[in-house]
Amino acid sequence: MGVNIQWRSFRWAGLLLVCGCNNQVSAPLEPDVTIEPRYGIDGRGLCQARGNPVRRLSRYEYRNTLESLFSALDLSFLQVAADPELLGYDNHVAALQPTGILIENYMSNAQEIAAAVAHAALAEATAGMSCTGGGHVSCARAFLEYWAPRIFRRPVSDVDHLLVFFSQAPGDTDLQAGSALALQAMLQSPEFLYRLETVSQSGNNADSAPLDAYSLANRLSYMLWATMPDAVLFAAAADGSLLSDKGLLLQIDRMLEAPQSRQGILHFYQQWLHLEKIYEATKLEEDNLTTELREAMHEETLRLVEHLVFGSEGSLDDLLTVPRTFVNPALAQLYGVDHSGETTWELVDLDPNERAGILTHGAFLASHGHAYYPSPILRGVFVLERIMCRPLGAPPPEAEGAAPGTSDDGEQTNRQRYDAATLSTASCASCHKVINAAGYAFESYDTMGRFRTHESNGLPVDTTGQLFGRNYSDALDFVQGLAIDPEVETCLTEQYLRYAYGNDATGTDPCLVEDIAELFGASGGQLRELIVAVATHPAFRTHYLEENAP
Amino acid sequence: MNRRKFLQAAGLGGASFFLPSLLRSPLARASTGSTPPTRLVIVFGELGPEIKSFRMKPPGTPDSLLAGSNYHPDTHQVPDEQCWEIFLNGLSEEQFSPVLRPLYDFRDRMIALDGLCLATAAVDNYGDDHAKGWTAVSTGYPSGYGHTSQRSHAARPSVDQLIKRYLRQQDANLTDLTSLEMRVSKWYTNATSNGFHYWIFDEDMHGVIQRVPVEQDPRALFDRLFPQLPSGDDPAMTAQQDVLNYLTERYAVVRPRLSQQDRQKLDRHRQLVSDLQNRLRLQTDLSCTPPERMQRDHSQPSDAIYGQNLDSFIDLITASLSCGLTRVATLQLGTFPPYEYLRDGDFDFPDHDEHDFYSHRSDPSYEFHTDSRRDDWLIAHVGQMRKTRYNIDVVRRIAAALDAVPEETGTLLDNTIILWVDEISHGGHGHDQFPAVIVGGTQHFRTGRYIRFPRNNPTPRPYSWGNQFVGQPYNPLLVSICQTMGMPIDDLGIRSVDGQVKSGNYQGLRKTLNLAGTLAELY
Repeated sequence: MGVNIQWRSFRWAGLLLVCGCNNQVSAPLEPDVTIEPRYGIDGRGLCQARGNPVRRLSRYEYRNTLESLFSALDLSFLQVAADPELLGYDNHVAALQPTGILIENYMSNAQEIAAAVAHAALAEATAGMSCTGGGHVSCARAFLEYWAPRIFRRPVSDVDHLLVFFSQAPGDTDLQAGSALALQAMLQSPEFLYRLETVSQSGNNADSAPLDAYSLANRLSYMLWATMPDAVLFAAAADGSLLSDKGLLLQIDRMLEAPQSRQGILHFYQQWLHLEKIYEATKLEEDNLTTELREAMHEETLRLVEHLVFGSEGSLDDLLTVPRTFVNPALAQLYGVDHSGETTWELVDLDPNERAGILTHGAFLASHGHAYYPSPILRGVFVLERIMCRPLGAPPPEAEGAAPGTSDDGEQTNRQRYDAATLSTASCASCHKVINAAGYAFESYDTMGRFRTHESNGLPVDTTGQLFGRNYSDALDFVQGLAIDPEVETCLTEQYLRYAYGNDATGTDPCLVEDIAELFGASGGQLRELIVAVATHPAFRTHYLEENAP
Repeated sequence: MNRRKFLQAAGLGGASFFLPSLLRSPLARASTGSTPPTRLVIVFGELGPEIKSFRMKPPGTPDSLLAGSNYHPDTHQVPDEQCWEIFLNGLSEEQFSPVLRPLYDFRDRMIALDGLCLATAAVDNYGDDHAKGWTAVSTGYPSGYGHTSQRSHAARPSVDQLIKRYLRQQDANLTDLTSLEMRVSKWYTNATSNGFHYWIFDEDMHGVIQRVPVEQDPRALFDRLFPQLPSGDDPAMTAQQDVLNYLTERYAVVRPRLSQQDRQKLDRHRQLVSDLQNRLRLQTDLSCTPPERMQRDHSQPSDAIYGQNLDSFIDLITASLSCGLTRVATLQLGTFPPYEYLRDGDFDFPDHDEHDFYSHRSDPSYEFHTDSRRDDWLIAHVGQMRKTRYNIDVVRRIAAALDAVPEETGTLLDNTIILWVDEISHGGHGHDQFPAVIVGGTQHFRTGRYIRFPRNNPTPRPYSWGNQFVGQPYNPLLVSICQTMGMPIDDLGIRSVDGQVKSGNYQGLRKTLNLAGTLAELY
């Protein structure tokens, strides 16, 4: 029980840090909310993440890690097979299986990198040493002792197994050739390509144990940065401070201030919100959805997320309802707002009667519309599945063929045509009553995301509806409702846990979701606090064996 | 005139014609024995063919013969017992349907199948109609689960991967290049495809079905097939083998620290490294003459890039099959080919959405409506027809490329089966009245025919369509192809589905539809 209190207090200490205590760790405070102490520091038998199987680096992590290791090298030549998405994320452990193409990619990438950096890498590792004659072996060892811990992301006590590349041709006479081969080997080794976690104690009761400091450093780094730990984090692992509550909080705070946190955290939001979908949208030529405009829509949402998470202590409420956004000139024109022209991107106020939050952004609205007309079905399904975490299951076979006609010059609104196509039979209506209700709120935006009060045939749009017993008058009212819905808060928690753990941790342990969601909610839904809550939960610092996973 | 120039003059050579060295290839000799093996090329279309312009009826027969198999809403309720077989050799080019006309020169070496039914899609509870179709067509088995309401995941390996695995079990000289998986893109891309459109699945060491990455970059595929390798006794090759040796040992060293499942994952990785090592050793001695490595010209429009990617993939398929590197190749065509190929004469091809307009609006039942749906259909079905004809022409080009390669007493085409399929039957996104085309395989199938199957089987349930009768189940076609490739199988894991008529005069009629065994009409 004492452990539970410690963790609760610890997390609130973290909140103070985030609020600007200049890296001075405050004394733990008693929280002003009561949370059932159902978790323990070892998590055993209580809140657990699903087993933590060995994970291959995702394509994104692999690229980022190589950039961290060889920052001076232009890595544009890298070829890495795409990873399959699972549950909407590219880092799901079940999907990160090795494939033949990947193995070849790893080999050719390692060869190119080694050819490019071997000389400099050798010089960096053996600075001040004499490597000719009798110095050959000592330089080889120095090279390995310098690079192996970096590449394997943890101390390496024995590099003898890599000395083979310096004891036979060509490395026995050519130190640089041996270095290149050793680099190739290290960059294809399991210790580099996989996240092999180890625990700080052995001999415990086999189903779980605290992570050792280097494993925790790696877990933290890949969650927050999507790349390997930096020197400071390695140092915190080396001196053990990372294993203390205070040390962990210091590192989390530091890491969230670092620029790498953008690539890690925004990568989650990009996937959660399906932002890449804007590149697949098909529109009529007259709508002029150029590549530049697609990129602007994509960037707008990420800029707002970045602003809210890192710049303004933003909350989930803000994310869904803030009547401000970032625009470039093209987006300003689409939204009908002013753009001063002083900088390309500007934070502007939106018409509070027209737009609020990410669900009124072009990226969401235009992605979920057809060439001729917006799709309340696609918009509704997105809201239900991604924002509310209500899986819908497969549509019946004839659903695809039942889309309404293309013509909007008749006597019906888009909504009426969708009603006719989806609500006229009981079998369709059973699902579409809900799907359509989640999508009709956005009828005040055409398929490009332009605000409208009337359709092109002159008929007024109808944005009223009722979803799960709550009435709404329009999109702004609808997103206000989402913002105060605990289900949405829990959903974002669940989505982030999937990304943070790289598995369906949440699917088998609702307790973990509840813990984090409760803390997230208690913080007022601050987006940054969601990250901190996940990173400081005991489950995040614990290794659970797959065989014993719940 | 050398052979390359002669063939180009005859209109048969490709832009970068490949001269095989099969008889000089130790890998090919080792893996093929004295008689050439059978190869398989599957060409996947997407978003549905235009079925009305695919269909053929015997010359001289009245149009009413097609009444029972059209898509008038009334025909859903009653069986259509009409079936026929047309011997294509006796037809003029004009008597071929518009879609099949590109294959006229191969009329004695092709079989067109009309009226199949993707029965396993009817009992598949996951994914939308496209996803059900991909799974049914490539695996012959319902999906395992759904990623989302649209996307599903196969429960069994696709047949190309089953065949690959079987062949590798039989022949130690075959490598992971036994199968090639390709997708034609309108862009230059270095990325493999792992996106929404998915056909190819394999089983990993845990028995879990995984997506197989699909190559979109012909240059990357070229580099895999024809790497710049030093000779076997070159120190650089020795060093490369040293690295791979180290890795196989390293993966074994790490193994004991892991859980059982993690061990399997790293064992898989280790096996793949070992595969690569073995393949590089074999490729070192391969004496095939490769085609040209594709050069990129970023100033080209996307239409031209599509064509360039496609040309290059056809060259690589031809090369890898004739060299003995590959036995099975799958080629996924884009959802829509370049528009320049679709514009024809005075038809100004409207720049509409491919899926929403051309696919959906070409729903053959729309022909019988009297509202705007018929207006849409009048335009959309022409576009869809041209897309289908373009895809069939791709089949012709592959067949021509293979036919230009001599092999034993005939050509490579004689020992290759080219199968063309889509994932849905038509713009209505159904899975019945499904068409397929086979070119080649003359030593295995009775070619030179168009076969129309009756539509008289009660519709499989429970998740199926409004029509009450369906055609010949598709699975036996896959079983036939697997057997032709040497696999001793009689089914794809599902031997039957239950059909039932749920409305109309035949309500209550039940029948078990057989999905096992071969498709007798092919022989």
